[in-house]
Amino acid sequence: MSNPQTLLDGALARKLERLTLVSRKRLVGQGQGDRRSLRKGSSLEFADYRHYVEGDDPARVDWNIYSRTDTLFVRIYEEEEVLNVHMLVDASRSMDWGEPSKLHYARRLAATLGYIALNASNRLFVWPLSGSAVSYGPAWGRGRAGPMLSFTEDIKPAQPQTPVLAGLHAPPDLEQSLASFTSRTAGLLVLVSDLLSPSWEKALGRLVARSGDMVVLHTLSPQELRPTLGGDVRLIDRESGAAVSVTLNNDAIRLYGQRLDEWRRTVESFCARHGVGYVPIDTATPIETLIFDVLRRRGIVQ
Amino acid sequence: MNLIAPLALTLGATLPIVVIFYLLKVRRHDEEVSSTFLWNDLIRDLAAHEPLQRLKTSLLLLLQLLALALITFTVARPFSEQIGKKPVQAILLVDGSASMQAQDVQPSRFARAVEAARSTLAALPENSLATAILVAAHPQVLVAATSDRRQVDRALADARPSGAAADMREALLLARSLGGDANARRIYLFTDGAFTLPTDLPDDLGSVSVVPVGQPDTGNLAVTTISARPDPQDNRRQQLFARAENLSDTAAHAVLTMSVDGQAVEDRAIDVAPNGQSEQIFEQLPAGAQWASVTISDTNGDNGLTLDDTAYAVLVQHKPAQVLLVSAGNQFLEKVLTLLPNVDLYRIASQRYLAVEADRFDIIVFDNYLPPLLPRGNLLVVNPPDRGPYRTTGSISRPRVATWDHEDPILAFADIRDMNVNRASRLDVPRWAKPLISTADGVPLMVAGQDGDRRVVILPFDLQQSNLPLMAAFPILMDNLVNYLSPSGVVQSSAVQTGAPETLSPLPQVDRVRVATPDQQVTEFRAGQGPITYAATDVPGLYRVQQIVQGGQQTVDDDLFAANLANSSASDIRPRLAGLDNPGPLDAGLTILQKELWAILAAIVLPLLLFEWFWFHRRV
Repeated sequence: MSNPQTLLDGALARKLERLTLVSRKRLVGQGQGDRRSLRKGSSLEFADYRHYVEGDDPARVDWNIYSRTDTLFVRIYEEEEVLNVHMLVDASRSMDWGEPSKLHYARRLAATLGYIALNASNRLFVWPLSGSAVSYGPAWGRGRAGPMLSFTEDIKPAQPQTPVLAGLHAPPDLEQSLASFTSRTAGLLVLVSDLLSPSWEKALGRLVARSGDMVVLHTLSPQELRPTLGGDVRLIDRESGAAVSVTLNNDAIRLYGQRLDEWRRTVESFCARHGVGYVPIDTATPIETLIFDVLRRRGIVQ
Repeated sequence: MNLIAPLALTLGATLPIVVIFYLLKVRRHDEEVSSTFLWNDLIRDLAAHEPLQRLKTSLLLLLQLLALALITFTVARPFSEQIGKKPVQAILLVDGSASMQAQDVQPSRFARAVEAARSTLAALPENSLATAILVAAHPQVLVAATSDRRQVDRALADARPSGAAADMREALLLARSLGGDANARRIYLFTDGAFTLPTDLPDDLGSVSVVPVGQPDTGNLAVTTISARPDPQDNRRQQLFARAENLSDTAAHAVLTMSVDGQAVEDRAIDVAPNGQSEQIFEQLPAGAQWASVTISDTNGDNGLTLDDTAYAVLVQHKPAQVLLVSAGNQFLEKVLTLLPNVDLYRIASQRYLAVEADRFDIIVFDNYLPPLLPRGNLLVVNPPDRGPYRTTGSISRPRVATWDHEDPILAFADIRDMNVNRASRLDVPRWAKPLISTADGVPLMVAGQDGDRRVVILPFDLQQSNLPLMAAFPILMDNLVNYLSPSGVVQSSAVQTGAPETLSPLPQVDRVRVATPDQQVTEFRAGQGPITYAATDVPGLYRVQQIVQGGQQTVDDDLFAANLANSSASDIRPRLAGLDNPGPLDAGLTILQKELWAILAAIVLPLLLFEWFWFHRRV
């Protein structure tokens, strides 16, 4: 296993402790959190007990009940709610491309946002979208940061022989990969993806159909944003192996740029229509700049 | 504007091929991308418009079509008509004789002549053909009938004068035959005029322009004759005869220096009258010396030409010929060979011949006998047997002498008209042999010739069956035969005039012959193909000839020969040419010239192609 510290260094982690993820919709969670509910008013009222689970704040343990029953219970209050944060990391083969690799960048971004969520006692889930059924969570509390980082670090790109969910031999597209996202709980969905799939619209439509808030971190590499290829080439699709022959002269590069801008505007427009946050990301941007400048400015974190 | 090759315009049919190339699939290299999702849409856009858009907007296509069109037009050789001077066929004769090395003008007469020839070449009308000829002992065509003036100019610049007298008549006749049409032919002769016009020149030389170089009153002192001979008082020593000439109109005070083997032996002051000569004999040359030279130097320091100031002579000392007589016994042959000077005679009986190393003898005399394998030396064969290398077919009884070649050196002073032979073999004359004495029926009684590397004389009758040994001509004939068959060394003549060929006759066992000129230029020849003619004798001085045997491991009988200008006329460097200059009547009028435009078109196409190349690499 690689060192999780490569995803998040200590200096950045200390800076992140001041941040929280922002959800713009009213959300109901199942656990206790630091998030103040928009629904219940501002007073703190006792609501119920539940069994202690690993990661719960020890300060909320009812020691009186423990002394009588030898069982750990924690108190929950209606005014506070738990924010479920679903971190969806696109691990398709198209993400495993670029310099730096988009998947590596996505892992770092997911780890960073996941750390913010854990630090804010959000209930965190990490869902690699690679056709595998493995996921991480729920987890909350800063103490879970280590396992979360290790899990995130281990997210592997989808392999060509990944069993397909639909179709016979084609690799899973983005929509099909969402099959691995099995959670029914509402919350904040953070999708880190390049959306380079013909089914991107269906996939986003399927996610917005769920209740909850959603943010799309549209991650593209500099080589995709500003291609440096030239000459008479046969472009090989990293995911499907399909080939496209093209003469990359100035005209072709210009047309590609127009097509890319148009597509990104379409995605942004879709997100705007469905109340989904949309952040276009260039993987050449340092993570720290992205968090403290771009995401903070766009209200994704505060 | 017209076209010389209008059919070449059909190359324009290749223009559509260029357009087709733009529609063909090109060879592409693979590049992996994250996804072709966006490119697929793009290809749809491009595919819908590509052919028309490329044809409309591709600068490359336009450049290539333009270049191809220009090349097609260039190949059709367009020309424009202009008024200009008529082209001529110029023959540039540059005198390369010895007198052209005189330095009365700087740097030399020859350099001035070349300079004048190059100027004349540059001034020739456009499209003229030029031929350059160096006039030497044999005229050398440097460049023949070309319109490439740079080639002619280079050839002129590279030309070098010879140290020999020039054959002006042969050069003028060559110029006439190379010059083509007499109306366009123009002969330019760049010379110092230090020769007398040959009297038998043809009348149809046409236009001849003589361009003179050199000062008219330049005198010259020269050693024009040198000769060595045995001292009558002591034939082990040699005498040297030299003639010095003053080829000027003023009296000269000079010093003659005689050197032997490169060491000065004697200085002799002489006074030579204007156009006069002084003959000197140097006696008592050291015994065993190889060569001598005589140098003249003017006490006033004036001398027009230096290459004839020194003359060389090789001091020839013949060794006695080693003669082997193979005979069952022939008193006549033994007696006469014993009496001849310069002969060391050895005798052996025929049946003991194989016990002797015959190859070391210069001459082998076979009397009524021939071995199956002939030795290497020269042969005198008397009455050869029927079977053998020199075949006979039957015999003839009492043949009468009808014809004999009395001009041949072998029969010089030998009166054999009264020779009677009782019986002679009918000899099949070999192809290399020449009959010297024949009967009325053409039956040879004596043949001689060069059989490969050896000389052979055959008498197809028994001497004792004839009256030849009893005739007064017999000892003379035998002396001539020995002289003919004696090896005179590898060089045929110990002295030649510069430019004249020397004949080299290597010994039979020699593999190669190496000749070193006075300026140490070495040339090698393969031996074994008969006599070698060596003609590169342009430089006055001593030429050393080495005979190499056994793959270069040994040399045998090194020999010398001398090349001297030895020509009063050639040493007289005062201009005296008259009557040759005849520039007209040449029609030097104007004419319509076809000026081809391919060079201009090429100058356009080349940068166009370069720009196309640049643009192609810039776009990707």
